[in-house]
Amino acid sequence: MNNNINRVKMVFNIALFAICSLFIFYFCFYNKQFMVNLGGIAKGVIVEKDLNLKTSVVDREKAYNDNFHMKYSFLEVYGAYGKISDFRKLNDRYKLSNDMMHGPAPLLRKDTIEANAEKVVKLKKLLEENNIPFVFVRFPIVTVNENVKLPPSIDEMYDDQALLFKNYLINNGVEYYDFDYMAEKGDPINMFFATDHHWKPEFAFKAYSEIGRILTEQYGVEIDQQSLDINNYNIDIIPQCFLGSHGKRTGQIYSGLDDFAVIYPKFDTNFNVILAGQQASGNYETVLINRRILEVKDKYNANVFSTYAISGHRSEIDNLTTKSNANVFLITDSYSMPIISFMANGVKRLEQVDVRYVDEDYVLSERILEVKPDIVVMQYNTGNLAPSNVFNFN
Amino acid sequence: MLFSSLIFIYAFLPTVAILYFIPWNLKIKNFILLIFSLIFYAWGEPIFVLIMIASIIANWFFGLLVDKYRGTNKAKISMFLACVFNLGMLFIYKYLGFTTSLLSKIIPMKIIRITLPIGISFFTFQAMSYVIDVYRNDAKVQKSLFDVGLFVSFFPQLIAGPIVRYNTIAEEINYREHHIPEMAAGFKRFLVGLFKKILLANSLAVVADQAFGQISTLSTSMAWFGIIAYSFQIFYDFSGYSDMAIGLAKVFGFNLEENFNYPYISKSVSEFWRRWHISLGTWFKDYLYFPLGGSRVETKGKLVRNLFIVWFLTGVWHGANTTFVLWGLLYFVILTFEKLTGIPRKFKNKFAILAYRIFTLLLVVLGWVIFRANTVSDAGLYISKMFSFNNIISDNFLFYFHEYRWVLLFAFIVAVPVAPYLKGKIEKNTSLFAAYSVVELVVFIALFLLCTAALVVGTHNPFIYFQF
Repeated sequence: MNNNINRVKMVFNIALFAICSLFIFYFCFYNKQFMVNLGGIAKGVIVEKDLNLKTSVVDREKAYNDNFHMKYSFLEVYGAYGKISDFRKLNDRYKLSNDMMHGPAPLLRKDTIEANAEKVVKLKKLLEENNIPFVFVRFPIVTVNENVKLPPSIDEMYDDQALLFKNYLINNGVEYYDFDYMAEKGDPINMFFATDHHWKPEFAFKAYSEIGRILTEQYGVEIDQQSLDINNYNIDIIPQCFLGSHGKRTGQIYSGLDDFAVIYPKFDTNFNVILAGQQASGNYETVLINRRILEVKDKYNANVFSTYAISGHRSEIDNLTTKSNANVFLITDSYSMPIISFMANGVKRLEQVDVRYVDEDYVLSERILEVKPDIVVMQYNTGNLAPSNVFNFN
Repeated sequence: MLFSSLIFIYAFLPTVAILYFIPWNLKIKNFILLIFSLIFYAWGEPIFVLIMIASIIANWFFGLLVDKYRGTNKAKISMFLACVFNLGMLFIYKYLGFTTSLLSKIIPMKIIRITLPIGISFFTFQAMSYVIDVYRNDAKVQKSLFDVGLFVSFFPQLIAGPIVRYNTIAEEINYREHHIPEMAAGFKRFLVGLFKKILLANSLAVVADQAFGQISTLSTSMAWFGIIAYSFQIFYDFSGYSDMAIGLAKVFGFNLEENFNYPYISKSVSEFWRRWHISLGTWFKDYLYFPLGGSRVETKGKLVRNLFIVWFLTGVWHGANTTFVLWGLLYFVILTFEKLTGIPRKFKNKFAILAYRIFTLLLVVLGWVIFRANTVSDAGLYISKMFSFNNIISDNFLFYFHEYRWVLLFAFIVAVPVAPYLKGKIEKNTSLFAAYSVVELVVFIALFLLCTAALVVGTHNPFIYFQF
């Protein structure tokens, strides 16, 4: 009996050893990057006399991990484990009370927020001296909605940061618009993606309509009114095509997939544009929408949100068909990508910049004075009030 | 380099294995192991490999001296110098900063800060054991510098033990065989350690970190949950590493001694220390407690003195912090009590035995509070939260309990010898055991994939015992 048991044990141990060894060697040889990395370290030390070996080793191990073969399949395995275990937190992302996902807010000091706000104030003063109106619009994030709750143990600092930022701007005479009220009530899944930190294009359109109304009524900016009415647009819903930034960290088994709406005008359009450095001409669907992103099979590396406005890094758009004569300058974060496309329908000229992605020699204030817009609108979401790179105006 | 890392499992290990098993000659195999052990150590902190190499050369040299002058005072002096060298090195890198910070409170002086080389306490103790074993004639002197180097730096147990005494593997360095069944068993043991580390210890670390990161606002429930999680974390972290070390060593033909034996089922604190970090306890017993006279001394005073020295040093060995000293002294007090009173061996009543078992567990858990806290006052505050009963159930506790309830359940089941008991029952029926083995094979492969997935995702992956 004992001999039989020992034989069974031995056979299964060897089977386990063989299967796991095959697995290990397969991944060992598939991840050739390791050898390249080792070669790089050796070259760094021997040829280039780079003795900062620790940094080199750490960087290369990180590169090895980041490029691990079938990385996303393993991510899905881990996501499945998280789903089976009913984890509310996975890979630094939370599930809210309605299962939408959310990322943690960084803990930041008061002086960081105020330093950012001060940069806005300085920009506003400079523009004021040059008779260019300036407004700041803050867009909401999902947790402002009364129907979602954070996990019990999570304290979020976004509200405190937003209040601090708002008070600083208002006390220094900046025209400030808070769009939180738009998202406070109703079903948040109609406003925000479940797997991403952005809002949905449909909800972004509502925000655009609101901005258009404010610019028209408060500042006399002549916005083409047909561009503000959703009934003048077609909406194509592309089902289950979008894995957002949260979902990319947890896998789609854990987070699910989002539908994505492509909103495009029923009316005729014609534009001359420079988007992401590329010059182009054509109608809205040709130059301001990139549907090819929606067809990308690799959902982990596709940035579906940039279907609108191509990249949202820097845009110069001339509308050749509108009756409007407005010239608007937008300073944005990624939230505004759909709004860039929508607003392009409503103004004669639209220039936009996300200062995180401009060249070092780009100076925002100089560019604005050169363009001489009717108004400058700075529109950031609540999650972007703290990082300093979005306020790097020089 | 961490065992529980992609680069170790999928690059380092297969590379070593290929190069190790190609040559037939054991000396070449040893040389390959030595080179890769040095790379393994240098991976995290390249410069510190020089300290380890210095330790290897010095102890090899002291070993030769001890052997050359065997039977004379010069041998004793050489052994003494070896101890001074090793302990001096340990003092400089591990305790100088702590000592100067204490002294600076009395006399004005600059606090010296030196980065701690990973695993210095482990390899220093191993290196010392070599010279002492040679001096005592418990092992033959090793003429080959490379072989001493391999003993000190052998990567499976280099960074977090078990602390291997030289006479345990002296013979295997030059005479060992490799058989596929043993290698397979070793690899399986490695996987068990990997599962413990990644799936249990790393998960529970999140709870423990959360609890110890916000002591001032802790609820009673979260305080208990946090320390229970930490008790399991440190067990699975360390025993998982030991399993991986023992398993890997077996793959390369070495048989290391066990380091853990279900410590949380102990009936007394004395028994706990016979089951927890066995290699450290054995080291202190063999090289300190017994030479001091152990428990076979003329007076109780000497026994207490011996226990004090051993447990004070055990505390200090774990780190240069008053918390570790206090933790060591706590065990000194309890073990002295058990030695002098004969409790709980005297107990005949089942309830008394059970009560003492619970007391033991409680004491160990409270000990972990002191061990884990950054300062003694933090430890005091944490313990006060455990017994405050003002804010009993908190949202924080409910959230983390919901998240980790299954992990906690598995941690509990694996910590008691349920699996070996059931396996023993199943082993009585060959066909049932075959069916069990199929399930086990599938489960092991699935867990291995899950561990890889966890590493790819980059979950929280600290190793507690690296700091020692």
